[in-house]
Amino acid sequence: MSERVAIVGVGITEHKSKWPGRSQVEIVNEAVQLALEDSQLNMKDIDATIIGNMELFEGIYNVDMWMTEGDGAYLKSGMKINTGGTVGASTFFTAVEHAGSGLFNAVLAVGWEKQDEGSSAYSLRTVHENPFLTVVAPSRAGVGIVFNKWAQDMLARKSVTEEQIAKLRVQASENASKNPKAHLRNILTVEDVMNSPFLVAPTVRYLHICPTSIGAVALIIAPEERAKKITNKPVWVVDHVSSHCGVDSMYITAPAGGGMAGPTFWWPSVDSIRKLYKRNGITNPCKQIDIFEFYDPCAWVLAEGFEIMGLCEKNQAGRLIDSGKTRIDGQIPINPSGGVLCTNAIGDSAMMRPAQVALQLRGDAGDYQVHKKVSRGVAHGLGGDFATACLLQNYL
Amino acid sequence: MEKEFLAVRSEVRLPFKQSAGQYLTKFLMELRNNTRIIGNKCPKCGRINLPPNIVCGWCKIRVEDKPENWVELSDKGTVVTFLEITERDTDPLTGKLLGRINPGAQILLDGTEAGRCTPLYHILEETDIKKIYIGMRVQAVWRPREERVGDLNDILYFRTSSDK
Repeated sequence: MSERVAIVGVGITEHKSKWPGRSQVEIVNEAVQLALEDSQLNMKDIDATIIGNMELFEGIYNVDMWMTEGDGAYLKSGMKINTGGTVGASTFFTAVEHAGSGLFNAVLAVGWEKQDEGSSAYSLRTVHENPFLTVVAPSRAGVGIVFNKWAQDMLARKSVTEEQIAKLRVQASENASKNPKAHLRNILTVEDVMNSPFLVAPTVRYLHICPTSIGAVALIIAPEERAKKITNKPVWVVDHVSSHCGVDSMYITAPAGGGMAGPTFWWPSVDSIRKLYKRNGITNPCKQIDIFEFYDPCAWVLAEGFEIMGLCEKNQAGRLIDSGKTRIDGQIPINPSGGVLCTNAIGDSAMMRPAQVALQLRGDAGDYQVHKKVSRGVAHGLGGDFATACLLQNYL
Repeated sequence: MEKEFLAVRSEVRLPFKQSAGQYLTKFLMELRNNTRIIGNKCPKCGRINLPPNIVCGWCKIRVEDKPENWVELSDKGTVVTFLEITERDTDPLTGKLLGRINPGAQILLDGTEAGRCTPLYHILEETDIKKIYIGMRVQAVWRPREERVGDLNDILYFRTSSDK
């Protein structure tokens, strides 16, 4: 990129399960308004709009054309991005690259999902059920099938116990209870989690996995000189990496690796984080990074995320959970927003991660602001079609 | 009082036809014709793709459709992960439960190495999940020729086997 870029505006809507009274366009418009308000910009200041959404989930094709009614993109540059769970991150990266090109003064990135309008579970089936290779019962468990593999692998190598996973889920609920835009905000107990019914036996319970949420996130990104004029709290996007998944490195047919059956669903996450760390001289993430937002659709995935992010040795995720260091008041705060576990509007979830890191780096996270001083954060994304990782700083 | 919303009903049918392609067709035909599971092997790194792939994802080279790149795999193996779908899908038009009740499993076929070959995802004959464990030995049970069509369901299920 020829220019350094910063996030200059953040807009996050509330998140719910059902929102029959509003259309997708109206919800997107609300996020856009919030981001413009946050940055004190007008729509005419925006040169390009990048939107991200899993349109198959709502059954709309060429949703970008319809969205111009609410996102202000009519006659502006920009494009629609569609990459599964990472769509929010890919959309954000595309906006970052546009702003960094030197061709645009301010770029708007919006991610959203309105899951009461379709069936994401149905649409997801086509990813892990190749029509030529379908054997096991089709299921509304969707990606839960993949998480069972992760969980069994972690249990087999004694990285965590079920009780530690429940504690982790409770911690996420405590964080989300302080985040007014999160979806699931009730504080859970370990018993609640451990007694919740199975989605995929013998490991994945309902309270281990994320909700299906409706909401939107908008970020405004500007190149250096403009960013410094727009805000006195720019959040610099120092680096971003994506690492592509493949069908055979992903879901059901993933080659085994790592433990006895380590799913290579994690390879793209491991790869993107490794590259990010290597390119930025991060050899001791616990000391060199102040806050992490990891894309955690399942509590088991978050636990493994501790190992993937290098925050503990392999097979030590359970010990890190028990130590309490990953809490809001801890030394290595992780997902103070409550994470994807508490809020998952798929199109916005991977954009929510850098958005939340940005709020923390600005000191604007209100009740869920982490207690330690923060200046550097890592945001991660996973799902089809890649895994993503980015590094944000509040200084240059 | 709950607000009432006007609703318009609309249904879209999207019939699709997909080509299995050269590599997958070979795999499916071996199931039907010879009750054999085959994969293809990268000539550079030796990893086995199951089902076969055109390109080795790790080496980024083409795995040519030549006899030396195809491998026959055992139809016996070891369970490496297993699951029970507690939330089966229903047919949106009839409301009928879809699929079979048997637990699913990833089975590392004999002669292949974890991390260097994809485990096969199939179902188990054993329906009591408490009897299933990681490391369990299983053996494919094939359908009779007249029921085999060139599909992974040509294997009826994997039966728990007593061999080590």
